[in-house]
Amino acid sequence: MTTLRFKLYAYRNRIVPMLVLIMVPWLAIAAWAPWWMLTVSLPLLFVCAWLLFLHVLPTPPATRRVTDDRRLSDTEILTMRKSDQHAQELLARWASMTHESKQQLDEVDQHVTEVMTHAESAVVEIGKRFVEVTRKTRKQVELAVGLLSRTGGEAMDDDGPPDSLTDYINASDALLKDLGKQLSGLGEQLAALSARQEAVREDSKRIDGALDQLAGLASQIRVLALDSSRRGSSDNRAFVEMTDRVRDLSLTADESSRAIRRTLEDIKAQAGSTDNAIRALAMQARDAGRKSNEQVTQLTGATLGKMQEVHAALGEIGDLGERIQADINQIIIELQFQDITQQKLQRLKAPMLAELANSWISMFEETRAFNQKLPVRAETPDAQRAQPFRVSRKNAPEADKGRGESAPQETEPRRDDGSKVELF
Amino acid sequence: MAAILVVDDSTTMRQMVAFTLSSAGHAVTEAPDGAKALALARQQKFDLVITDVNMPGMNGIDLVQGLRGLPDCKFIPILVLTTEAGAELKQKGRSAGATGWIVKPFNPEVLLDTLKKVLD
Repeated sequence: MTTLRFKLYAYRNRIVPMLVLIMVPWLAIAAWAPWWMLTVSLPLLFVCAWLLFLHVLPTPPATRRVTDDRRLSDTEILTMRKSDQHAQELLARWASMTHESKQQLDEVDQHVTEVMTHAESAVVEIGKRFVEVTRKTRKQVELAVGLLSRTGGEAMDDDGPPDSLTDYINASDALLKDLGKQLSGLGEQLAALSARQEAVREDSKRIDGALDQLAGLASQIRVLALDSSRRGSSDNRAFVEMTDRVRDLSLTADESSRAIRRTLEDIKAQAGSTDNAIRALAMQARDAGRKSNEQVTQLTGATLGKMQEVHAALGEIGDLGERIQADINQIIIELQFQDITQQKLQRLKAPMLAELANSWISMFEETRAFNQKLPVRAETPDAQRAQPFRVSRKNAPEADKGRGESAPQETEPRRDDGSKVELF
Repeated sequence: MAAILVVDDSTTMRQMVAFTLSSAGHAVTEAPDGAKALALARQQKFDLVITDVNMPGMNGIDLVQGLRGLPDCKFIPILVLTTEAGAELKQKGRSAGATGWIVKPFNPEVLLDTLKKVLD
């Protein structure tokens, strides 16, 4: 009976049009059908309509149930059923919105995690590169310092080649000093030889004088011989005189010859001494040359080796410089990656969070409007418990204030999807 | 040595480009957005401009157009340095008057080689 009453109430506006529609075929055949057929079919038509109404038409959702409050009218129950349906729809939309929000937050979380991972790996990579740069720079410095002074200023081994450029310079300096000393000694010895040569020249002058004297004696003897042959027989005294003169000349010649002999002996002695000095000098010069040659050969070999070492060290320094530059370039690229990722996250964050906020605000407004459309009886404590959603004063200060008013048009949020609110 | 204007809203990126160019001996001036870059270009003469695309206010494409409208910048090389690699945007940049398009992250050596090419 209750079902029939609710059905009658629910379909009260549709009963007459339904009857008219059912009567249309009967009226259509009424003109040519026999009277008895029309008489029989008319009550049957009403019976069919009644059965159709009872068993074919769906029962309205607001039918009274056993658990319904008896004090409520059917209209109130129907309104509450509709409100319940809206509440279910709203709940479904809340669930959908929550799901979408969760997905968006998951996406944001994923991006943030990605950025953090990128940042972490970039920082690690940059740290590694800086360590590499520092290590290579230190190696460069060590190579350069080692190039200048490998032994750290220690004395060079006399037998071995120089180990560093400093040693090489010191060895060259010692060699040049030694060569200078030897050349200086040679110069002194040559000066002594020159003095001896001067003495020989003086002796030669003396020999020349003695020879001139001997030539003069020979000339005087020749004159005396001619004179004696002219006056030989005539004058005996003159002959004696001439004899004395010849004797004197002979003595003078003898003295001159002795002087020449002495001079020649002096020259012989000087020549021997000079020869010895020249031999000693030649031997000294040969020894000095040989020693210098050996030292120069040794230094040249060491220098060539050192030059190769310098070349290799400079090449290594150059390679290290290039690798340092590559590391710095890599650092720059890593920093750019981090910056680009950060910028992307910045661009992603704002619209996504804004969309999320707008969605939640929209849902909040819909819920508030729904609450406001609940019946006035909801003022009772029981009805308040029956309200599906209550927004907090903090999140929606206008909600409680606007309760009971007709429409929340003045509190419309900034998003222009008020049509959703209008659906209620 | 060339006078180069670097335009990017990211300080890190700007400093990175400036470091690379300064190391190569160029004189670098920095601007954080297109409007300030245009103001600088009106006051000072540059040999080359490097700009990002996505910037607050005036973007890089508009900046290229604006620079091409200045008498001193009509024929100088303008390079676009951006994360964007879309063909359509590249075409826009080209139409605006950009000389080259470099996609971030840039390799310093490649950047310097490109600079050498466009400056020669």
